[in-house]
Amino acid sequence: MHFLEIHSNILPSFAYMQLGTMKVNSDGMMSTKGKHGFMRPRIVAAAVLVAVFLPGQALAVDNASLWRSLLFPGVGQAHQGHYKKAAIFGGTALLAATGVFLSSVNYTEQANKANAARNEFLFFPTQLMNGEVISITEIDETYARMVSATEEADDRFKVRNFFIGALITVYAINVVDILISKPHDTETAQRIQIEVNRDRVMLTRTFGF
Amino acid sequence: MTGIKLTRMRILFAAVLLIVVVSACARHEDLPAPLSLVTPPKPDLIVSTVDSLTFNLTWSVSDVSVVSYYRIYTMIPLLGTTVDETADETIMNATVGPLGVVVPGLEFGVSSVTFQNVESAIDVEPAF
Repeated sequence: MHFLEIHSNILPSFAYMQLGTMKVNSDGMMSTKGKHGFMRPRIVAAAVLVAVFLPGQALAVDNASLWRSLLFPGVGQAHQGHYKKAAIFGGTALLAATGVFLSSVNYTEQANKANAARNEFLFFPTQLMNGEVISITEIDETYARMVSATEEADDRFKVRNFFIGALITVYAINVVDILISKPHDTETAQRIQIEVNRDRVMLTRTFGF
Repeated sequence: MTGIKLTRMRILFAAVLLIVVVSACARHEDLPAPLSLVTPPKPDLIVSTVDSLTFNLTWSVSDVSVVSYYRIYTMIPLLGTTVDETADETIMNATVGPLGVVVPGLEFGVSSVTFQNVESAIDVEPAF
């Protein structure tokens, strides 16, 4: 009888899926001995949170670069010598951070309008209970203004969340990249090499990414 | 080993900080339910002239059962608007005047007020 078992004993980020054979012992208990297959899928989406639980020994963690990348994406890559990646991470994070700031300002302004209209509308019952006469036109206009402001706030909320999600994603990928990449060794990787033979001269240009 | 633990603590701190920042962001409130109010009927006003200084106002509404009383507006250009109220919903006419002088642009308006103190739209008619 075959079954699928998923367990993670040391590394929660990796699910070790073992295909085994279920046996029934003489006392009636089931055992799970006998492996027939082995799969190791990676969960990339939760990389940042998962990385917290990863033992440092399993990765080539460069603490100085990691700390820099946590401060701002791309800084750690630049520290490692990967300048193109640093520019990509830094530029994307800068764009996302600018988007978060602008969309947050935009959203907060609209949320305040929506909440003000909401409070005004919810105060009508109290005013009516106190004997104050209120025009149905004023109530309808306030309700329409509240609905319009709330719908606009909903839209701006989604835009703000998009930029927040983008920023978090860039941060996460940036941290994962720092965790799995090694510092660029400029000494061993000669950028320009010239090899001279009897019948030819070979010029080699090395690019680092 | 201490360095590894410190690094993990830094990552944990950054992750928690991100979550706190995102969750602490302002959020607008959801839409409340509409108020359960009886819509007041808008009166249909007819203004007739008794003489050049006195006016007779008569109006009708679609549903008198929801009306507590009526408001009568006298709108005089440059001087503003005065409001009078009827005693109850059964009074559906009023006489205004005699005014001291003939007022060009004089207008009258009538609205109904429900038992919940909600006032209808005002039906405005010119005096002349």
